[in-house]
Amino acid sequence: MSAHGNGKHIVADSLRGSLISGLLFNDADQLFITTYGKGIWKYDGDTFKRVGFRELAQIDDIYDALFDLQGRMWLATDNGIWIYQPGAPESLSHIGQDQGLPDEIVTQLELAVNGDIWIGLYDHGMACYTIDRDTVVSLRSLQTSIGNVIGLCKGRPGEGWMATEKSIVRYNQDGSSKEIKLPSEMKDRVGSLLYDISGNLWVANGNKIFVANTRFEFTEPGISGIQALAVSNNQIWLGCESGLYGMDQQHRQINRYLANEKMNILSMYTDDAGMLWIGTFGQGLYCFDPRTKRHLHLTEKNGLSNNSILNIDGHGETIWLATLGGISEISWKGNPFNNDISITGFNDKFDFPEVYVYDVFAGPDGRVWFGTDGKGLYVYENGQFRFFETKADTIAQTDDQPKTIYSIAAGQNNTIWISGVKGQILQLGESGEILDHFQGNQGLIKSLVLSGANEMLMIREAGIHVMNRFGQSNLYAESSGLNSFTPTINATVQDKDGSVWIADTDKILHYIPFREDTHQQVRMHLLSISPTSLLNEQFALLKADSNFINIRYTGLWYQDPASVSYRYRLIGHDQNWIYTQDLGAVYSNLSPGQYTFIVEGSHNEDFSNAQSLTRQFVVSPPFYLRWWFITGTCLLITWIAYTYITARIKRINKLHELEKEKTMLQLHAIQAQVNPHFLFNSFNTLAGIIEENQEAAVDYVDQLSGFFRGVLTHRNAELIRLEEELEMVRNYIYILQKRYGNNLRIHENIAHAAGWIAPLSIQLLVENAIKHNIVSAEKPLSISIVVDQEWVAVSNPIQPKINASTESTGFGLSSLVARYGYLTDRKIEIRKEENTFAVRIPILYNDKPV
Amino acid sequence: MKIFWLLLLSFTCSHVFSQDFYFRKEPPLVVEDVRQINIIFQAEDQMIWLGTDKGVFWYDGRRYRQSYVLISNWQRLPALPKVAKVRSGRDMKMDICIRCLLMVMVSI
Amino acid sequence: MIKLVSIVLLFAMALTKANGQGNIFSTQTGTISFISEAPLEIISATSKKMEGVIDATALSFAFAVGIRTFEGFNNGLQQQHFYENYLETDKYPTATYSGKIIEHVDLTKPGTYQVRAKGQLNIHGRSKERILKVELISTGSEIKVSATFLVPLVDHQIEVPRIVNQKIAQEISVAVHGTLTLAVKP
Repeated sequence: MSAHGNGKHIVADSLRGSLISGLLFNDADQLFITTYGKGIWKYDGDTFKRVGFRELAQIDDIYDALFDLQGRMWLATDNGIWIYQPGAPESLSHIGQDQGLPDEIVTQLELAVNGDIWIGLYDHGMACYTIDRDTVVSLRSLQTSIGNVIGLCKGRPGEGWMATEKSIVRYNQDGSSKEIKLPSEMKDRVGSLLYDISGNLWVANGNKIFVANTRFEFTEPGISGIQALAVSNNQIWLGCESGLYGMDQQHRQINRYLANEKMNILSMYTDDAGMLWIGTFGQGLYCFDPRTKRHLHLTEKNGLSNNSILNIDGHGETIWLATLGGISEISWKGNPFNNDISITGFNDKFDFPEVYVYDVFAGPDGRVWFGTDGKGLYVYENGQFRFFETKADTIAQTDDQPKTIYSIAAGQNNTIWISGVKGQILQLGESGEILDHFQGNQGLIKSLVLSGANEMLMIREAGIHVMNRFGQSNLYAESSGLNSFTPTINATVQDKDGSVWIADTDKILHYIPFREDTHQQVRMHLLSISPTSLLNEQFALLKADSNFINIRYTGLWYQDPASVSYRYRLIGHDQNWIYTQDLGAVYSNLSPGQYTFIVEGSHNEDFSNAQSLTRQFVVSPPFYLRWWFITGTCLLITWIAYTYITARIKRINKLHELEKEKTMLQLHAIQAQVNPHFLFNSFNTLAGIIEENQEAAVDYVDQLSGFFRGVLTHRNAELIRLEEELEMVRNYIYILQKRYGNNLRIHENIAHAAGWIAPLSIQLLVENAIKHNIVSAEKPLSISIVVDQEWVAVSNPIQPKINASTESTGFGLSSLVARYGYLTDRKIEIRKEENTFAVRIPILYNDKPV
Repeated sequence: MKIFWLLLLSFTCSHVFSQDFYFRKEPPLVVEDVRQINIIFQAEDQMIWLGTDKGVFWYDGRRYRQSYVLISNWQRLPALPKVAKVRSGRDMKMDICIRCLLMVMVSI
Repeated sequence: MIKLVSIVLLFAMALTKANGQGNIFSTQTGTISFISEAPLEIISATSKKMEGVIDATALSFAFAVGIRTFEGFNNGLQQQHFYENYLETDKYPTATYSGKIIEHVDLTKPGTYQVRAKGQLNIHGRSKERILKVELISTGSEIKVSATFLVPLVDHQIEVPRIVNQKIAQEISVAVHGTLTLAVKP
């Protein structure tokens, strides 16, 4: 059981100070609480209310309470039993001494299966309310000093157990009772009694727990040398070395019979008429009538094969004896005492080997079987006697014929079971084929006997295997007290009620079946499991870091807890089952995948019908192994690579473009500079000046060559000093002024002359101004050049030429803008207002020329 | 005459015998210094429960384990006094736990 | 001792369920004796000063005895041990038994009644509910009480050191006899 209880605790102040004697839930799901000290209360889910119907209001001390089959509440009080019917017609009735209750102080109540109520009394032992007669029957009470009944339990049907502080008594419905002898270790007070669902009786004594398997009762009759058992006339007959004894269960007495006959009894058989046939060692055969006590004595003189009779079995009015001198068949008509007996020796009639016969078995179908010592199995059928061959089967894997057979018993559907000396137990079919076998690997089976509940008991030293009709077997050994049990071979007999008596040399074991024909398994419980998501769920999905499982379990088999073993397997990890006695399993570092854990428990190492606990779970792969992650990552890498490469290509291209542009610009600059028109006009002007003034012409040529010198010097530079550009511009302006005279007016405003500028940029602007505007006497052009800290501004009024000049290629300004684009972030500003066209070029300081 | 003597002799040697069960002793419940087991009870799922003077235990045949109930910090089920009974709740052990606790809490 | 009687009487009054007066029988000279049979020694003592009250109408009773009124120990030292160590009489000077009678009998009618008394037996400060068999012989104006019962020492946490274990039994056998007379009604 897991220790996880979702405890909802309900506190009732009104009930404080009293002990609770009963918690009752009726079919309508109402809860009644009976207390010792404060009467009965009803809980409606919310509050507690005392039930005070008539006398119930005065009853404070309630020892016990239950609901009977009719839904009435029975209350055990100091004043007898009160029966309360809650609900629509509330009613209350009473059972007291007037109604047959032996004692008014009732301490225990227990509901039997058939509706009877077992009543435990303070001073009188037990009584029983029988439902069919609606009366209280006082069961045979014990001595009054037995004390208060502290526990009542249901046992087998019709059986009740009662415990007082010092004793335990078993009651039967017919009124008989038996006090159980408690072991000497039980010194303290008996605290509690429980008869569990598997037929074990639990006794709490102080802080110790004692458990008894109620299937087995041991009797020590005080006689040793018990060699045979029989049942007749309500007595158990013991055939001993010293003679014949009868055990009377009712009166618990053992009496000796036929005491003056010297009998060393080896075998006994009860015929259909109840006569007891007794086989002795050397004294022949007796027939004893338990009712009249008459007996008959037959020996070799009467025709028996031998005076030592090892085993007897029979059918109707015939019996077969296995003697030391062979098999004898005896039959009679009516009454064997009428001297109408015929005895036949098989050895003469049939070809039967001289061999010791361990067991004679008269089967239900009329065949008679003989298990021999060393010569195998013989069968007598329809007047024919023959050897019965066991056909070895590949499935059964028995090496050869079982030669020595100790015991034979009937199986279902006309099959038989035989137990051999090598410990093998085989089920044989009609023609000798082996249908089934039982592995009792702890010693050879001495006897096979059937119980009334369709079970086969396989009895060996220190243990008994009980096999039910489903083929499941339970072993009862040390925990049932059988560890010093030494059974006598074939000394077993089935009683009328289906129980089996088994003889040890000085003890008799009484086996009483307990629901063995139902399917019994080790009941598995899950104690704890980690990860905890699997605790209450059959299936869980676990994260990648929860790749372990730690499970603890237990299996209940209270008949013999030491015999429980388990097997478990983690499907998805283990190839095979792991067999163990451990109560847990741990798996760690599980790789991702699907798993199923199964554990089963068994008490006899046979797991074919075991109850199992299973849990299924899936361990998720860690995120780095998920498909989406991998795919995503791949895509990401691809994209990154792609982007990088593309960017690089772009950059390279851009560089190339830049180079190209630069080159183009340079080319254009040069082209512009070597503008033939400029040269032509310049020379024209020169020609004019030469004519006028030689000195002026020399100056002009100086300026012109100075200008071209500058162009040559700076043609490859990206940036030149502002002062240098200004100088070139002055040269240029001089040339222009010579050409245009007063029609061109240049205004310079130079505040600052530091920094860098692209070569021929100002010159270009001036050139552009002249190119696009009218420069004439009527309309002179003024160009202003303003240089401050940051900008060089060239502006002129707009006086557009009428015919567009073919000189304009349009390259100039735009390529200048582009050039500056490569050099700096600051852009060349072009402003075209109404009448003024202005261009500003930034002056660069930090950028040095390349 | 012979019959008479036979009959007489056949009634001699009678004595009383007893029939016993074999009680095995389970391993002792020495956990928590338990002195007295007041109640033994079997739940519907076949587990054996013990009510003692030191609390509630359950026993699977091999080990005794103390039962706790999840109330705030795993409180143990208190001792079950002698007179009190444990009746099975309709279904599972959880139910029993609850009933046990209900029962005990109310009677304190 | 007068104080004790009044306490006891008060008990009895409280237990009376009927309105008005009940039929109250009482005594102050009841006899109570106990015997401890141990392997090595037998100790016995008797008190003749047990006080008791029975209310015949409500069927309730109360009995009390001062521990120090017991006499008859084997020697003074034994008596001293009883008083001071085992029973601690300075803390718990009185033993009482009070409760109700289970069987519905009419004690005012003459007769012999074998009844059971259920009540709290308080010794050494510890109470234990006991159901005791009592024989009541009533003459109408008098009730003779007699009862014998066992008192396990462990029930009342009377602890005896191991050295004297063999001299003191684990269960003490107690016998009570008394004649209660009908009290004058107030």
